[in-house]
Amino acid sequence: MTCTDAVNLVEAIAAGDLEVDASLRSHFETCPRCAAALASARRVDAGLRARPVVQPPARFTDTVVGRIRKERWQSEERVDRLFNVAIVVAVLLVAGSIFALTNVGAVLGAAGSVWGVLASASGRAADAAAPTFLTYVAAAGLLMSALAMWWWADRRVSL
Amino acid sequence: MSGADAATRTAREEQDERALLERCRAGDDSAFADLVDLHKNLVYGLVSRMVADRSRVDDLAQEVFLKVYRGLPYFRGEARLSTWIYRIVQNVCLATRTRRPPDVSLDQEDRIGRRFEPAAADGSFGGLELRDRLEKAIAQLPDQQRLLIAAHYLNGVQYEALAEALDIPLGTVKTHLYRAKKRLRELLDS
Repeated sequence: MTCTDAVNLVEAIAAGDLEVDASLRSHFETCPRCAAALASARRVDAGLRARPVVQPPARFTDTVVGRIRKERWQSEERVDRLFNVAIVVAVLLVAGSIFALTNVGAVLGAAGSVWGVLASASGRAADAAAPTFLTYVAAAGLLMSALAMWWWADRRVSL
Repeated sequence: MSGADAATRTAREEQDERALLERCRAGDDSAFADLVDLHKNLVYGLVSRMVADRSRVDDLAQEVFLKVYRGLPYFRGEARLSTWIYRIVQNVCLATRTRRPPDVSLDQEDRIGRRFEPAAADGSFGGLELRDRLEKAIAQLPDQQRLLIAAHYLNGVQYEALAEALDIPLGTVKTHLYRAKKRLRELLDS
């Protein structure tokens, strides 16, 4: 048994994981350096066992659950706000498209603008409808997204 | 207790844990309160031993459970809940340590001028002094070893339980613990 062997075992001995056999015992009895290392390892082990255990306060669980409820409420509120904004934008787009469509008709009907006169009837209709149609598609898409978000948020809340 | 009894108990515990997690995922606040009650002593004890700043323990322990709650939908249950909680504790505590404490000698004066003497020649320590020096030495260990030391000496968590909880081999648990204690011994004796 060498000092290196013995010193490598002192933590296991101090923790009670290793029985001290005769050869180890005789080494520790005759080697002051290894004996000091073992004593030191035992002090460390005792010190670690004596560390105070801090207990959570009595209302710890209530506080955690309260924080979770608050966080969930804030998350729902964020989703609601996003949904409301999406609805407002969709409504504004639809209203804007209708307004644009009626305005174009009024201008064409009343003034017989140069653009209207030159364009063929079908061309005029197509030209007038094309941007409006795209706006309707965008608005419908936005509305669908808002509804999907609503469905998703509702599903999350109910989980 | 026989091996069969222990296996039955473990299987029942796992079943109970899965049922509790399902209730938590279904949005049952009382189930989550049960989960907190089950693990709060472990989490609070670990955090208090991992973080030097005592005023932050309560907040960090709460943060651990908030992370558990947020992660529940993604927890697949392949590992034990305690394994996951240990990892969260480690991450939360690690995040608070923006830098390692300076490698101060334990027998130098501390910030308020107290002087820490090395171990006396006869090996006797004052209880409070040993505790103080020990805490300073523990603060210098790598995070993994600090967590192992904190967990093992918290309510006498056995090696087997620790290996299972941390999902590492039993031999690795022992090796890391011995290394950590050897480092502590060297720091205290230096």
